[in-house]
Amino acid sequence: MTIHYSKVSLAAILFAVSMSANLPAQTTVSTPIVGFRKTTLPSGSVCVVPGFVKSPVYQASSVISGQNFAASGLTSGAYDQSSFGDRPNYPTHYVEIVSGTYEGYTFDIQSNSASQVTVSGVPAQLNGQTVSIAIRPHYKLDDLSAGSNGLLDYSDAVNITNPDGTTTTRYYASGSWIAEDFSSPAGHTVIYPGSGVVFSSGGATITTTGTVKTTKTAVPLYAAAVNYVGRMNPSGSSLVSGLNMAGVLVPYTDGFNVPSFDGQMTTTSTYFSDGAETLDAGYSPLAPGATDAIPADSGIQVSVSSDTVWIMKSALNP
Amino acid sequence: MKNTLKFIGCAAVFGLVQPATTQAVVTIAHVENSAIGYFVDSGGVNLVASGEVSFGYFSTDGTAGNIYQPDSNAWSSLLSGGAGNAWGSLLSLGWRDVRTLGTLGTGFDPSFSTGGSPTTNIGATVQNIPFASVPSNTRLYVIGFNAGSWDNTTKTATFGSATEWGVVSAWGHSTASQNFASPADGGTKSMNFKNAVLTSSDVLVGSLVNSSTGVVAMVPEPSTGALMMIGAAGLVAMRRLRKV
Repeated sequence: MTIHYSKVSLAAILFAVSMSANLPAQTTVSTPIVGFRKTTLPSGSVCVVPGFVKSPVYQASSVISGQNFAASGLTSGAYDQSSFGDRPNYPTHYVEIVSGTYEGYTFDIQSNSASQVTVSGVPAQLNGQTVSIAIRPHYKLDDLSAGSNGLLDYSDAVNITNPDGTTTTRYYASGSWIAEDFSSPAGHTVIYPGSGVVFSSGGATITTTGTVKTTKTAVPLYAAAVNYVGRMNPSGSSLVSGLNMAGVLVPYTDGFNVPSFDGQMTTTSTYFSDGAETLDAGYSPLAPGATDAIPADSGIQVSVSSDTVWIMKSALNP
Repeated sequence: MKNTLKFIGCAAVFGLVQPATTQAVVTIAHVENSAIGYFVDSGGVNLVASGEVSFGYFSTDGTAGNIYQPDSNAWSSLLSGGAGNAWGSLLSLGWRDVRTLGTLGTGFDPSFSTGGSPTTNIGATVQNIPFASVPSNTRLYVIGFNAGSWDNTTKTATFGSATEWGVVSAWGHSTASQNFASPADGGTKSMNFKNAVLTSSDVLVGSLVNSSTGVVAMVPEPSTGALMMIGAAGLVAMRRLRKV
């Protein structure tokens, strides 16, 4: 079916496709909305936030026990971590909680058997709870460049900010990506949901594809880093007032910049919070109906004083 | 190996590889209101109703390698020179208001005369400050004067008529966010007194009235202070005389 979502988008062509045939028998939800978006990158640097995630490979209700999510009918080892030249034990899939208090939280899968997946970082208060989950493959740099045009080998690159504030650089080469040593393959580098990369090129076109999220997304924000994050909204620009960011920021201290999408990454606007409302650069609450917006495909630069989590609403359920 | 060889070939042709960096800018802000603290006059109670706040850092030439932090002797010297001479002395030490480097956000003004701190927000947000000038973790300062103003067209100030002033730079706190340290590339830093959980040592010129509310009192001219001391000494002498 063609959904109303496509009516508000000039650039994105979205389709609704039943994926149930590809999912295990325990699947309870089977109509992800998939599509693609073509983006022109200007010469210079821009913050790019992919608007899509990968379609789920498993969806079901699951009981949590410690760091394990119960499942059934899985192929043992199918979602295990992999070891790459630059990163041993690197995740390939993740579990996402898709309803309830922890909706949007994701956990990298370490391994799986036929009856459970083992992850890391599950809060203790989730132990014993039954939640709805989805298992998805990670969105990777290779997914970002697939279908691209105009990227230059060993010249165009992305910067990814790590939780400790350091930056990882990946260079485009021969249709994939390589690490800073200019030799280790790095196309597997994960772009977490809601996170962005700083994409530097001489001008290119990228085409992102995937599933439009219909549920919330929990995006970690780290105090030690400037966090490049954004609304997963493949239909176009996103209103600042719709970011749901005010409650996340420490009043009058934490803030975020909106960089331009012209290759210069100059700051076009700055926002703070009073704890309840988003404040503009003059520390005045955004007026109802304010049109302040983040360019399509782009993100924001968030500075926080302590680690926290931004719960981002779905573009389909704002 | 194949990739490595290819890179070497490319590097030989083009000389270097284009680095993947942003334009390297930061946003630095300071705000005062009743929620997050403010300057008061030297009496420790009354709002400051004129003058303005300057915020920035010290650099001998504005480059990253020449960030300067005045020591306690330097602050003592500045203090003894009086509020009226402070601005000129600060400039000679390399003081740079970040408004000289970035673009001033719209919305409000760092002038106390806009309503008197803290009846309305006073302060400013300065965007697009080159990161190279104020690299991450550069010590930032907030300086308040009770007279004079900043001209954002000429990027100069006239604080020579000030009779009171104060300087705050939160530093040495266990939580990095409480320190007045410049942000990483692309980041923001909003300096306010309350969230910094000021201690007396954070108030370089002035006195901490209340840490929990972030209220800082300016100091008067040395001559004014001296007159007050003379007056106090006179009172003590009169009381002694009366006792006799």
